[in-house]
Amino acid sequence: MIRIALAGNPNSGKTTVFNALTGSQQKIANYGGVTVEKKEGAFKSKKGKNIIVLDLPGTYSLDATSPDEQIAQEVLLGLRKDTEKPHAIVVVVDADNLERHLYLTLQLKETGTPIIIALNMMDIAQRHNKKINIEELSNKLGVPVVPMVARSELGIQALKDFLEEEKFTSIDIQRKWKLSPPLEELCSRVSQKLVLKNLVAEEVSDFYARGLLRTKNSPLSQVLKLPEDLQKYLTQCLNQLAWQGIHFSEEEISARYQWIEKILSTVLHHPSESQITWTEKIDKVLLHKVAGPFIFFGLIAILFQSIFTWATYPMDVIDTTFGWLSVQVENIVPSSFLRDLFVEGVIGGVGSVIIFLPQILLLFFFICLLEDTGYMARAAFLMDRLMARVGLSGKSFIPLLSSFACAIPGVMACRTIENKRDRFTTMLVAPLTTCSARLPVYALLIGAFVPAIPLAFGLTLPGVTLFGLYLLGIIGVIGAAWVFRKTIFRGEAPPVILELPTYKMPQLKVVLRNMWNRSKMFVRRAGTIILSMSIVLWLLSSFPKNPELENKLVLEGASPQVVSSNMLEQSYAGRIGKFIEPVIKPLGFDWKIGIGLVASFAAREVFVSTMATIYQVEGADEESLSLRESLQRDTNLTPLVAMSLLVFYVFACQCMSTIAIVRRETNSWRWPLFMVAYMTALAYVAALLVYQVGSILF
Amino acid sequence: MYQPDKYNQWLFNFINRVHEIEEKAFENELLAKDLTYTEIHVVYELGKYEAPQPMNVIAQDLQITQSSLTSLVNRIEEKKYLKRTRDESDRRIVSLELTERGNKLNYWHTQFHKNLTKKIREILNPGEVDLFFNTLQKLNHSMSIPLTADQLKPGQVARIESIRSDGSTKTRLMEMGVLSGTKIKLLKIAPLGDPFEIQVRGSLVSIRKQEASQIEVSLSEEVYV
Ligand SMILES: Nc1nc2c(ncn2[C@@H]2O[C@H](COP(=O)(O)OP(=O)(O)OP(=O)(O)O)[C@@H](O)[C@H]2O)c(=O)[nH]1
Ligand SMILES: [Mg+2]
Repeated sequence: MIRIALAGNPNSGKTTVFNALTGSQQKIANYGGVTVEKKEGAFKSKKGKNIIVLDLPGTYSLDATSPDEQIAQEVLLGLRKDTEKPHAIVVVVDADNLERHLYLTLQLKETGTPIIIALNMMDIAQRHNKKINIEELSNKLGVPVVPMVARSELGIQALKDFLEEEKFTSIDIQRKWKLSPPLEELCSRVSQKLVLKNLVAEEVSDFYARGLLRTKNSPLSQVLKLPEDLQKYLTQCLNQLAWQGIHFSEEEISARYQWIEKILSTVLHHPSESQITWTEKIDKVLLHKVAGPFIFFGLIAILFQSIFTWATYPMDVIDTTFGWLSVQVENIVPSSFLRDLFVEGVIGGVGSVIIFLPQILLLFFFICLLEDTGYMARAAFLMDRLMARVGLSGKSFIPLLSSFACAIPGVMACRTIENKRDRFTTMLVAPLTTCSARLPVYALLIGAFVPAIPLAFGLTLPGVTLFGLYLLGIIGVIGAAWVFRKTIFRGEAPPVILELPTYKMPQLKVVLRNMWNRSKMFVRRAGTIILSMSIVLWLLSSFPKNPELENKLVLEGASPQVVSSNMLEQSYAGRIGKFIEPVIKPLGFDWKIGIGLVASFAAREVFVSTMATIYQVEGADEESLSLRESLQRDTNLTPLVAMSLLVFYVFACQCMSTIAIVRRETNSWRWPLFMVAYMTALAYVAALLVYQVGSILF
Repeated sequence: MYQPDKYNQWLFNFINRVHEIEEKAFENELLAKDLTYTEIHVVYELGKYEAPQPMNVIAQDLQITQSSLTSLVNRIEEKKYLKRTRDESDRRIVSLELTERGNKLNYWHTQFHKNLTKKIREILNPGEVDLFFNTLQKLNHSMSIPLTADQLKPGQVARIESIRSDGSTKTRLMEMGVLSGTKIKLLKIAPLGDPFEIQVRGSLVSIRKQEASQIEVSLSEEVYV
C-alpha cells in the first residue's frame, strides 16, 4: 500500500487531480482556499496495487500562516498523529506560473520525501505561447515531471503509471542553491550537531537545521525533542542572527528564487508580451472604477430576480405532482390514522420544502458560475475597502460569500484567514448571511404576502423584497463584525494578501456536478431531518385526541373548521405553541407560528414543513388548499406579521449543524453558545421593532 | 576623522541658516508677511511658468497631492497672491495665475535666491564652489524620497528596490515571489481606492495600500512584467 499526498500552491489544481485520480467529487473552484481539510481517496493500479491519495489545502510555503496551511504543513512533514507521513508527494504545479510554484516544490524536495511534479495547466501555458523543456526541468531539479491537463484528465494515466512503479524511491535531495558563506557555515554546524546527537538522518539534517534557524518556535523543534544544550546553542545562534540584523528566512527565500530564475532561463521560453493579457483585459472592465461595482450589483439583481421568475415553472410542476399524489393516496387508501400521517405529515411536510428545489438550484448555479470563472476573488477585491471599514478583510469576504450557499462550508472556509481575531469574527458573523436554507421560508412568505407588482428595469416587488432581505442580512454581518472588532476582538486590521486567479472558462461538468451534489444534499435533508420533523410534528399536533371536547363542540353546532382548530390548540404541539406565545406575542406571532419557530431550531426549512402540516391538520375536512393559500387565509397573519417573521428569520440562528461546526472550529462551547445568544437577541429585537413600529404606522 | 555629532550639527546649522536668511529677506519686505513658508513656495513654483497652469501640474512639481494643494491655494487666493481661472475650451480645467502682488513677491524671491548663491560664491574659492555644488547635486539625487508601490499608476511597471514591512507580511510577500529586484506591474486600483491589484511573476495579487506603501520601487520603462 502506498500513500501519496497532493501538495501545491492554492488553486494549482490539486483537487482536480485528486478527483481525476480517485473518481471522487470534491469541490473544485477557481480561487485559492477551496480545500481546507485533508481528504482521502484511493485508486487501484493496473497491477491491483491500492494507492491512497491525500488531497490537501493549498499553501505557499511550508511555514504555515493560517490553519488550513497548517494542516498541509503538518501532514507533509509527518507532524500529525492522525495521518501517517506520505511515502511520496505529488506537487501540483501551475505550468503557467512556474517561478512561483517551483518555490514550494524546492521546499518540499528538501524535506527528503520523494516528490513528483505534476505539471498541470499545460493548456494555459500553451495558450500563452510558453515553451517548457520538460526533460531539462526534470534534470535540473532532479525530480520526475509529468505534464498534464488535469481538467481534461490528460496525463492522469501517466501519473498513475508512475506511482505504480514507485520509481520515486531514490531521489537526490541535496539542495543546489547556496546561502551566503557565513550562513552556510552556520547551517552545516547545526546540522552536524543534529546528526551527532542522532536526532535526524544525514540526508535531511540540512533541512531540519534550516527549519530550526528560521524561527524561534519552529514546530520542528518539538518533533525533534532537542536536548537542552542544543536548544541553548540554537537560541544563541538565533540571538546572534537577530543582533546582526540577518533574517535567515529572507535570505533563504531570495536564494531559492535566484536559483529558480537561473534554471528557468534554460527551461522556459516565453514571449514576454503574452502574459495574462486576457485576464488583464477582462479586469479592465470588471474592476473598472464605475463599471465594476455596477456590474457586481447588476449580477446580484439578476440573480434574485431570476430566482423568482425562472423558477416558477418547475415549482408549479412539483407542486402539482405532490397535490396529485395526495389526492391519489386519499382516493386509494381508506381513511385511517396512517393515511392521514402520510398525506398530512409526509407529503404535506416534505412536499412543501421540496418545492423550493428549483430556486435553490438556480442559486447554486449562479454561485458556481461566479466561483468557477474566477469572479469570486474579484468580488472580494471590489469589497475589500468596505470590509476594511468594519475591520475585516477580503480574506473574510470569500467565506462570507460561500455562506450564501450554506454557513457550514462558510465557517470552514474561515480556516484560510491567518489572523485569529479576524477568523473568529468572520466565523461568528457568517451565519448571518442569508443561506439557502432560508430561501424556502423567504420564498413562501414573500410569495404569500408580497404582490407581484412590476417595478422598473424588469424587476418585480417580490424580487426586490428578496434582495432587500439579503441586503438586511449583509447589513447584519457588517454591523455585527464592526461591533465584535470594537469589543471582544479588538485589534488592528491585519494586512491582507489575496491572490486573484486568472479567469477560466467555467466547466459545465463541474457546474452540473456541483448542482447535482447540492440537490442530492437538499433532497437528503428533506428525506431525513425534514421528514422526521414532519412526522413528529404531525403526531404532536394530532394528539392527544379529545373526543369529549370534539363531541361537545359538534353538538354546540360549531363549524368543522372551528372544531379542528380547537382540537389543534389542545394538542401537544398547540400546547407548546401556547406556552411560548407570551414571549413572541410582542413580535406579532401567534402560537401557530410559535410551533414553527420552535420546530425550526433544528433547521430553518422545517418552518415551512411545520406550517404545512399544521394547516393541513387544522383544515382537515376542507378541500385541500396550498400552503400559500392557507397562510393568506389565516387572519392572524397580516403582511406586517409576515414582515416581522421574515426579519426574525434574517437574523435568527436556527441551524444545529452550524452550531456544531462552530463548536468544532473554535474547539469550545463558548463561541457557539455566544453565537446563538447574540443572533437570537438580534432577531428578537429586530422583529420587535418591525412589528411595534409597523403597528403604530399602519 | 569621522565625527558624526559634529557633522550633524554643521549640516542642520547650515539648513537652518538658509531658512533664517530667507525669512529675513521677506521680513524686510511688507509682502509675504501673511504667507507661510509653504505658501511662498507655491507662489514661487507658479512663477516659473509664463502662462497660467492647471492645478495638477503645480501639484506634481511640488510633489504634493491635488487636495492638499487645493487647500493651500484657497488660503493664498484669499490673500490675493494668485487667482483661479477657467480654461476657455474646457471649463472643467482650473488653472492658476499670479496676481500683480504675486509677481512682485516672486521678484523678491528670485532676488533672494540669487543673493544666496552669490554669497556662497563670495565665501568659497572657485574650486570649492564646484566641489560644493557637485556634492550637493549628488546628495539631492540619491536622497530623494523613494517612490513606493502605492504611488504607481495603473499600467506602470516598476522594479522593487526594497520591502520595508514587518516580519510575517514581508516573508509571505517574499514567498509569493515579491522580492527586491522583482518587477511588478500595477494593474488596477479598486474603485474605493484600496486595494491594489499587482502582477508579479505571472500571478495577480491584491494587496492593501498600507502594504503597497511599504514596497519601495523605481519606475521601469518596460510595459510588460
Ligand atoms: N485550464 C485548466 N484549468 C485547470 C486545470 N486543472 C485545474 N483547472 C482549474 O483550476 C481551478 C482550480 O482547481 P482546483 O482543483 O480547485 O485547485 P486546488 O489546487 O484544489 O485549489 P485549493 O483547494 O483552493 O488550493 C479550477 O477552476 C479548475 O477547473 C488544467 O489542467 N487546465
Ligand atoms: Mg482543492
